[in-house]
Amino acid sequence: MSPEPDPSSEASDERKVVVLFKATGDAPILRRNVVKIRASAKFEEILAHLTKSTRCERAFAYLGAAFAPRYDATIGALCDGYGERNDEGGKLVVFYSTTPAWG
Amino acid sequence: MSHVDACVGTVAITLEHKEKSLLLNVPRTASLGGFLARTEIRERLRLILDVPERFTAIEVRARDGKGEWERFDARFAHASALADCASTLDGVCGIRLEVKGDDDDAMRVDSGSGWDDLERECRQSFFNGVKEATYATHASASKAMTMTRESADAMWAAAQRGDYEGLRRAESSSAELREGRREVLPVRVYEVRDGSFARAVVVSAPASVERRDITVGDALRQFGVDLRDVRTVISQGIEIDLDFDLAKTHEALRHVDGFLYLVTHCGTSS
Repeated sequence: MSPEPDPSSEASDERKVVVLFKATGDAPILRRNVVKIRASAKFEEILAHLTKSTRCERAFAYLGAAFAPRYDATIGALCDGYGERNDEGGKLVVFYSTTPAWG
Repeated sequence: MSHVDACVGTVAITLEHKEKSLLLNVPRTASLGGFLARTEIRERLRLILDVPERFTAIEVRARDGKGEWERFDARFAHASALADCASTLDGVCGIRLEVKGDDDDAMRVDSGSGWDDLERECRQSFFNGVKEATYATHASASKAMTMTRESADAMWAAAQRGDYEGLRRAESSSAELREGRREVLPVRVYEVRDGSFARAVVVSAPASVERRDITVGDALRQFGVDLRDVRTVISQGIEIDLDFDLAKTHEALRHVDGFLYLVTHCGTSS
């Protein structure tokens, strides 16, 4: 995650989720495609991070290569429902694009 | 009783524009934005309320616990969840819709291209929900994503119009999509605090819970709702007891997109 809004910089004992970014369409490949983020962070923080990292006007993010979750959903809840929870916090795959990909 | 039987009904919504008003009965199951964007409805809005074809914002307001009107962007929600958020069972559902034209000093919500774009956005939002529910129950959204154009159009038309026969057919397509190997139920929880409609928040995403022997109260607890704080739980205009079986409640009251919408009214009484 980028230095300024890095949600992982909060309390160290808080659950964190590993987020893996996968580019789709003509989205640029990120230099750093795996980040650790607080489980309590909102999905919109991921969108802000992607918008900044891809240097585009607006980034789009999807789960399951299918749907966009609510922006106010927490990463922890999304990981529990659509990712893989484990002892280390969990893992969530996020697909991103610079134009709408899956509606 | 199928869930379609339980969900049939309308919500009275007062639409206001430039000091004119119109009372519309919107089917509970209808997508609010999609319903308003229907050709015959938009024509009525144009004739009776002078609503322009192109506009910059569409807002929903509802009375809060103090009787004030509060703004809430609810274009993509369905009428039933809005009504459930706006009132408790003993109160009158008061939703006021305000349409801002290009000549108004309105907050811009998009490029302001009017009804056609509103309908397209609402349709996208609806199918996004269908895909999410399918993914939650099937661990893949491929069934929803490979629907034929005809099935998708029929499902959207049913959601837009809230008509009984259309909903039955749409429900049958939707049920096929959701048949899956994961024993989970897609649920969304709105938490309305202190009677304030504007402070309604979704606390549940992605909101799938195990199907087996779970009550509504158990599910709310899983979503982080403090049950001691809950005054009422409403779904499709029906008060839900915390001891109700979640699977049966989902079966009877789910929306056509596959989600059960539980609206919890918390905090001090309005």
